Amino acid sequence: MATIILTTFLTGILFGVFRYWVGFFVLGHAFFAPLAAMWLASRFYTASEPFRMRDGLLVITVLLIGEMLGFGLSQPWFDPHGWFLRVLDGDTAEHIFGIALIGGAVGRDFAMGVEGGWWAFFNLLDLFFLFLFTMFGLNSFVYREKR
Amino acid sequence: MKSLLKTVRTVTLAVALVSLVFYLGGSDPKAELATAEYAYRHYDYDQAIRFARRAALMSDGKSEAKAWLVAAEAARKMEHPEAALKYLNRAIGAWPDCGRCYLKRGELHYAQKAYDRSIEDFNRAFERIGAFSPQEAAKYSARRAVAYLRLGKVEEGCRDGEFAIRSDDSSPLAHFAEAICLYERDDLEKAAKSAERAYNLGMAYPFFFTKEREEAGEDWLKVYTALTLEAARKRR
Repeated sequence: MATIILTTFLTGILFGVFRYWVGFFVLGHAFFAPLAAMWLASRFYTASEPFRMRDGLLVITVLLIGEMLGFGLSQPWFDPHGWFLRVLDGDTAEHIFGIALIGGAVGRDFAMGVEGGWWAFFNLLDLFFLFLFTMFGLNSFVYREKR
Repeated sequence: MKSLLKTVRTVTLAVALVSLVFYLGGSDPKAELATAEYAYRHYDYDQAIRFARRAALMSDGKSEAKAWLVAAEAARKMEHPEAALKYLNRAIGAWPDCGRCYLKRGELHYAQKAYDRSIEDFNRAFERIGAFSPQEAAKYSARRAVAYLRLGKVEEGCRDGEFAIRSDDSSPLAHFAEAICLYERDDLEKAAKSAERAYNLGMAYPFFFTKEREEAGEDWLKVYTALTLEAARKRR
């Protein structure tokens, strides 16, 4: 489990850095982050027994903590918590990769990114799929019979 | 079948990486800087810093200095002077003739009460910036005047204070500088009058006293009160 935690944590950091500098790719993030973490973990560790749900939840938590750390380290000063509150308050916005590139009214509305309620909505949506893909990744990459 | 899947996976990953590199490489530093300035004007300082840093990393020379300048201003607004100073140093590193960068760094040193460094930076800025608007000339001359006076250099301070008033007689800062100068010359009565004029002018400018406290660390109301009280005490 320590190997999975470590690789997930490192992947989380990388995704956090990416999220700060490039932007948030809703669903793309939910897909790539857990699968990349689990694939990386499977390079060092595989198990044949089925995984426990609490391990899955732990992996998601570690991934998010790693991401928060990577994001914070990319900021000019480490302040992921303050940033989170500012986004929720609507004082700043997060650049959503893709939406800002769309033209027309949607593009104009989200040119600077997404904040407040919409930000929470996109993140919860992403979190739901993140949960599914973490379970999928754990099942298909790590907890399987050794070949 | 297995090798086909492996090939598909490798190709997909390669395409994803190449697209990402194209996306990042295709970003236009001018557009990034324009977005940073837009964010700054709309009080989104987090985004202003982020876009400015991206713009700075993609450009060099004058453009890089401009980007760092936006980042520094935003960092200062977020009350992170150490980050602002770092960005201003980078701006000056990218474009050593950036007069505005010295001006902003001078202001930052002033707010941190590093008056000698602030004077040095103001001097460099005045050498590099040819034409100041009367308001700007008054503001920065008055700043340098106060910095000189705080260091005990009364003559230089008073000279700058007089120049500030000549540049813009409606500048509260210039009159505060004059008040301190007169106080240092033991002319308490005139100093109190000058401080009163500065106070009245300051009240006419929206948020003058608040901005001064936040941006320069100066509590001019305290200065005004102290001078007025001391003059009144002396009169008795």
